[in-house]
Amino acid sequence: VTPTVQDRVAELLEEAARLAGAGDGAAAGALALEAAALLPHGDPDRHRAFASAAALLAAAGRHATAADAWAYAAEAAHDDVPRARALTAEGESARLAGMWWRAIEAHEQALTLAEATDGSSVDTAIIAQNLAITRKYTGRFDEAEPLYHRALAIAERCGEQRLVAVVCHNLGGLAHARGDHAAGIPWARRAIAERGSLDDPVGLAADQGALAGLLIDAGQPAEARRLLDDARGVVVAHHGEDHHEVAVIDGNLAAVALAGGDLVAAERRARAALRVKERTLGPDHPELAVTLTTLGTVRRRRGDYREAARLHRRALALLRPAVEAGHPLLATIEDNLAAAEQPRGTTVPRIPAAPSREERTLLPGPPRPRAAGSSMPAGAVPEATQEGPR
Amino acid sequence: MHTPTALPQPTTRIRHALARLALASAVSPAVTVLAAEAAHAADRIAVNHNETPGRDRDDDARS
Repeated sequence: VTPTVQDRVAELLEEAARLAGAGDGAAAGALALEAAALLPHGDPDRHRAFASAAALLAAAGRHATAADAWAYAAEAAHDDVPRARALTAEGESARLAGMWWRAIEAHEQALTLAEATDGSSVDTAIIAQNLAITRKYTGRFDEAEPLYHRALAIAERCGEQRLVAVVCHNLGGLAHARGDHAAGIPWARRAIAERGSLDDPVGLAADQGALAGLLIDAGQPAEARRLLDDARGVVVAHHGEDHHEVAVIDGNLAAVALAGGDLVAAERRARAALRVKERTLGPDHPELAVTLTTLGTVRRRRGDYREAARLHRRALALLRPAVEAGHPLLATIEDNLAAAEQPRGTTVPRIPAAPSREERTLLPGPPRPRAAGSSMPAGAVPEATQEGPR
Repeated sequence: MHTPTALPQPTTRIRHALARLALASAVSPAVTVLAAEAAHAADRIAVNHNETPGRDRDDDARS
């Protein structure tokens, strides 16, 4: 490295540190990423620089760019422990960015590395459960379940109560996604019980919100409403109104109101949820789909068939590429679209099935910065991936 | 007469800046970048959301 390049790296990182200290994590992360890219392969600071950039970008909600930075950090890691951690973080950033297939790929690589190091460690349990949740999102339920149970066994053996609570929460979520609320409710109640002895009111609120989602499906809207109101108060006090967690709670409150026939309240809640999700996740995130179809159902019930169909179609367009064909939420949205179109005398358009897993392997995959033979050269600044508005 | 102070070596400056970045993004001070990274991973145990969709078919059945 010529002194000029190192001086430039130092200048960029010092400015990044100044911006981070001033609270501008997104700008700090972008500068740190630029600096990291100038460092040559093999430089002992390259991994640290990419990891710092990624952590700042992730904290600033720039999840897609953070995923790329974590991928470069993994590539530059000096051994498998930091590499597995960087891959896990890449998977989480990719999942939060709505890039679920890429998240699965990163988590699978992380799990392979972690198993080679210590297959019964807490690190391995975290990676396994993070892979499980991503598989659940895409509809690979049968592949998710054993990973959750493996993570739960490790967490119980190691006395990791917070991880126990999270895995129980997520096992309830797996049952919710499958449409099996009877199986999910005991897991959700156990998560609340496990969390109760931890000083974690925000985690407890998330557990209560998750149980509420199951109770709505079980036809118990009164308890669901009480849990959601309590959870909303805690989450808003901690994160403010403009937060994804609040949007999920509002989406469920819309479903409660819809079940009770209060279409005005249902629309108000669903619109609030959609507004916050669009702002925090961006307009093209697959997690918008569930809220869009709830709002579409409300509009159909209020007689606005055209708007209802538009909302359901947008939901399908966002969700279909992100999940397996036959995902239960896809089926629900397709049914909702059919209900919106039927009264107008139109036929339900044939919806192309999502590509099978075998077909998907033939399609161009997500950008993988560390694909064989394509290591980012020193000095090449990673192109910022388009992010949703924040 | 003022004697200019020599700047630290670039590598030292880089590592100081990285330590400052770690402090800015870590939950507690006095942690190394790698420790901060480990804490970051532990804090990022993924938690799913159960958002129940409105179902038109069920609503019709109830109405």
